[in-house]
Amino acid sequence: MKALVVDDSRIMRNIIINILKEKKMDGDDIFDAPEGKTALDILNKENIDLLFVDWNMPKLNGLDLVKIVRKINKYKDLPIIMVTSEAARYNVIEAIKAGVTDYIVKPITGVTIMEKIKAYM
Amino acid sequence: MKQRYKWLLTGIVAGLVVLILYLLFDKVLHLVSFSFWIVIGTPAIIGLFGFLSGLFVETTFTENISLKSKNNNLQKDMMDQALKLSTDINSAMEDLQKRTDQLDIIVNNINSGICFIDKEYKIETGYNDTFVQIFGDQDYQDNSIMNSVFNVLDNDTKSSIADYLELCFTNKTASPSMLNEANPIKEFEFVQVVGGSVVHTIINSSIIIIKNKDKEIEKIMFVFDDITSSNELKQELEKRDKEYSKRYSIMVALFGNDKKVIKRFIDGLEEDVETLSLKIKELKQNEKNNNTISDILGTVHSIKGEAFALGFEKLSGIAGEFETFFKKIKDKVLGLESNLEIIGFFEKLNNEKREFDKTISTLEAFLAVDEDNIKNGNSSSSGLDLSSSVAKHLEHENISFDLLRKELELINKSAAKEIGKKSVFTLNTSVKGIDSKKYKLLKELFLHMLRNSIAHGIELPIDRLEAGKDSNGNITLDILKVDNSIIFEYTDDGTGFDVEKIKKRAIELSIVTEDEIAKMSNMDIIKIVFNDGFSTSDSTDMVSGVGVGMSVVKKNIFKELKGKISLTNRPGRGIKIRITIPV
Repeated sequence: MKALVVDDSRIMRNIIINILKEKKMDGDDIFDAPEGKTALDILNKENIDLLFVDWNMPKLNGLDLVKIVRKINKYKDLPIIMVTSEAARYNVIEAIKAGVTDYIVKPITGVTIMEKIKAYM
Repeated sequence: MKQRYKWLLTGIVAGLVVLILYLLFDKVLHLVSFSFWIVIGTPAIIGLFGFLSGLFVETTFTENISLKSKNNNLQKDMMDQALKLSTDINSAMEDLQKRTDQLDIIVNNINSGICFIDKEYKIETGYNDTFVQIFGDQDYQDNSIMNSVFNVLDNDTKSSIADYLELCFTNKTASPSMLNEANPIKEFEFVQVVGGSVVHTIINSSIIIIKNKDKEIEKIMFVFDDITSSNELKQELEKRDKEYSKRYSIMVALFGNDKKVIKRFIDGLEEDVETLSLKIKELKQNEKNNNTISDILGTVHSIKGEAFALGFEKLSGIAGEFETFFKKIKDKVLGLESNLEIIGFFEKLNNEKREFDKTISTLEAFLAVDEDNIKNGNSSSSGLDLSSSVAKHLEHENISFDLLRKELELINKSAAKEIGKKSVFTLNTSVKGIDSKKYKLLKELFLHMLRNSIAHGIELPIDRLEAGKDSNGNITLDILKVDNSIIFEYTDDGTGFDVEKIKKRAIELSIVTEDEIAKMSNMDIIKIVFNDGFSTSDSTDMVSGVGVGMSVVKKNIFKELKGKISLTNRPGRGIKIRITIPV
């Protein structure tokens, strides 16, 4: 199982990566990217099984990245978890329309992440 | 025996008969030499024909017969099978009925209203009893959920529900929990008329997506829960919580202050409320009486400031609202016909007072228990004897100026803190006290003077340092008795009266004209400050009022206390006001 974490904040990326490692995921199978373009390169090269995307990123924002990923045939059913600080309802609808599978509201903890991803692991 | 042999025998017999007839007729004519072939051949040939005929009959007729019996067998099998099938169907039907019944029991015993809607949002058969209980008894089947259940909702909500349902039927990527997160009617109010009365129900809803074998979304199950009563409970708890926190804040204020100060305040509050209702009655009889309005504003202003100083924030807020309201009446923005506001104010004031009494009696009960336990006989001096004092009439009680010190110290502290200044209030007295009526008037006027000193006289700490003064402002009140009078000498070391500022403001407020002011002495100009309606600040805050403060001073001294006032202004160094009242 391979996971990709996309977030412009290095700290946020590390938090998620550490939580995944704690959950017995092999470090070699966890990829991370600070922005959309690098993320797409990794997605094209590897076969990712779980994707974390930050909503607010400079240049390509999280939602637009998700829309692009959903157009890639092999990722039609990929579980995509949006990491967001805005939980307003209209945002949820926007995220659903873009193709997000689930979302985690910051601040994130091991418990919140595991609750969301156990269905996809 | 087989047909072919029967026919062979018949042929042989027929051949023998032919032979015998032949022999009878031609015996004489022919020689014995032919007889061998004829004797053997004729029965043989005719027998052979018979055999062949028998064979023919056999193949045609016997086949028919065997086909018939075959048919018979087939029918029997079919009958058997049909019988078996009908038994099977019967038991299957029974099974199905059993399952349906079970499902009905399950669905109807779920305390949630359940219905299924198809892609056209039509409600399918199979909505349960609770669903009907929640939304009312009518035929929902094949009706769009938008036009039946959701019909009572406003258009905005309806269109967001429609958008949401479309999303639910088309989206394939979002998790169920995320879809439910986006539900626009997670909680909604449903209004219906039942038996002539309007019933409001608070309903919680969630959805479950139902997919078919090919993983395509086929229908959506709606689950509705009536949460009206749990909501009410929640609100009740919140209300109680609020009440407790209110009483808690009152308690903090009660404990945080000297009990004598509190006692005076609560007694005074009762008197103030009485005065206010009298004055309002007066005002209704004569709406143009500006003095009455000023009296009302003065009283309300004191309640506001004192309550704030003691920490009764709610009460202070109520008084503040009323002050703003009466300011509007004074400025003729509002007429007195806005009676509701006044009634509302008194109601709020009374509620708040009741709250005080309740809290105080709770505290007293608590302290009484404490006293019983420690068996302290002297209960009246150690108890927080507050509520009984409210009822007591205090007309002729002598009140110590020590109390005035405490009260004014409090006002000083809170007012200075409010506007970021520093000031020290000192009260020196050689007189013990004064009767309660005069005390109240004096307290009121010094309260206004003190506030004015802090708001307008005392400079900000940095400005004071720059002017070569101590960063703390100093306000003192000396009380001494000379013959039959009591002299109150009030000083502050602020900027003193700013004559130019007063001039400008007095003209702005049309209290005097420019011509008039040109002829006035500085002292006369300063006296304008004591005029009704004069205020140098534009806004009403906790410290400065609405331009009634100093007029209260004047009124209390001259009209009520029959006293005299003398004033010394030391620009840049402060003021001195001497008040002499007869006793």
